[in-house]
Amino acid sequence: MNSTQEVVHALFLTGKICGFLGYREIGGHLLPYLFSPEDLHGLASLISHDPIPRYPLPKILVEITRAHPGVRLGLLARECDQRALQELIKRNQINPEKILILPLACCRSDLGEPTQCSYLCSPTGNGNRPSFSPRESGQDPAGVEPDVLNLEDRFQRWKEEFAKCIKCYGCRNTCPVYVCKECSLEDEDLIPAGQIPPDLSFHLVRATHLAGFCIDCGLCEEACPAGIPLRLFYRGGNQIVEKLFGFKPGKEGEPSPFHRTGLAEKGSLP
Amino acid sequence: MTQKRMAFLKELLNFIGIHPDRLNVTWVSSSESAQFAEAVTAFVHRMRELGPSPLKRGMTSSPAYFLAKEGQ
Repeated sequence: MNSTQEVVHALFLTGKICGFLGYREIGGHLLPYLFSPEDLHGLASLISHDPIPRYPLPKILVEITRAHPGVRLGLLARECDQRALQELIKRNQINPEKILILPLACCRSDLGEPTQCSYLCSPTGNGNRPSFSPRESGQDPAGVEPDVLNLEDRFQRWKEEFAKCIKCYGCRNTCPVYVCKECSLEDEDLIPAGQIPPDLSFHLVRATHLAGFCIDCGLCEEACPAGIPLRLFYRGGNQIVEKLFGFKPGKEGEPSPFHRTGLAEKGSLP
Repeated sequence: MTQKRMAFLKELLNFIGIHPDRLNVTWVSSSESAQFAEAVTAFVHRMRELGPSPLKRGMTSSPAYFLAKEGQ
């Protein structure tokens, strides 16, 4: 048994969890898998695995607990998964008493202290290996920095990025914090079917939804077959929220300024 | 909430290169026709200054734009 298997085995023995969401090696690939106490075979310890597989485990957890609200599950959670869990807990999508987090330090983001974020893709774009040399924030793999361009160049730049969109919904589907039961991106009146590339509003809707919610995991950008720098885009939204409201997603407790908590609004504009 | 969202949206438009003044919200009561006319007139004036929206040029890709810029 590897170290992860030993820890999970102990959790099962003490009755702390009745299932464990981790990665299992299947046909040479590490895939998300819900382990039962009887069978921990193949539970991967990700420490030395290269390339490191990344799937939105928190989202899978939400789907399982929606179907089985009573179960108490453990899950392997990297830094980004932990941030996603915090945001989902704040939105009442996960009951914190029903989960047990086995933390794993690996990905880095400026949302997670104390490390500096790096793009998960290397500048040459081969694979999803974390690059541990910090890059300047705001710098994107294509080498163009939208922040410093003037208004018109910036528009051209994003327009060309979004013109590549084939509306596969990969960014949304892999997003660990996207757990909505209804989605305005599937609304016929807002996003007409059969139109490619979709209107700019497609991306603006996502950016607005994710502002103060996106946990900067970069899965969207990895999933995008067109290579749109989505992480940079949503990070821009988060930077605006931080500038205006002093809020960074991913931390315990504090709700987003757009979170509806009833009549009393927190964090209103000065 | 609207106030917060508007502040965010203006910044988001600016981030992707659309002038934030192209988005505006003003609160006017149904009895304040003068204020309404004033707000709309001011907005129309601002739009005239800014000129046609870059969105009008469509979403099709034109790498030629940046290539031409590099050539300058």
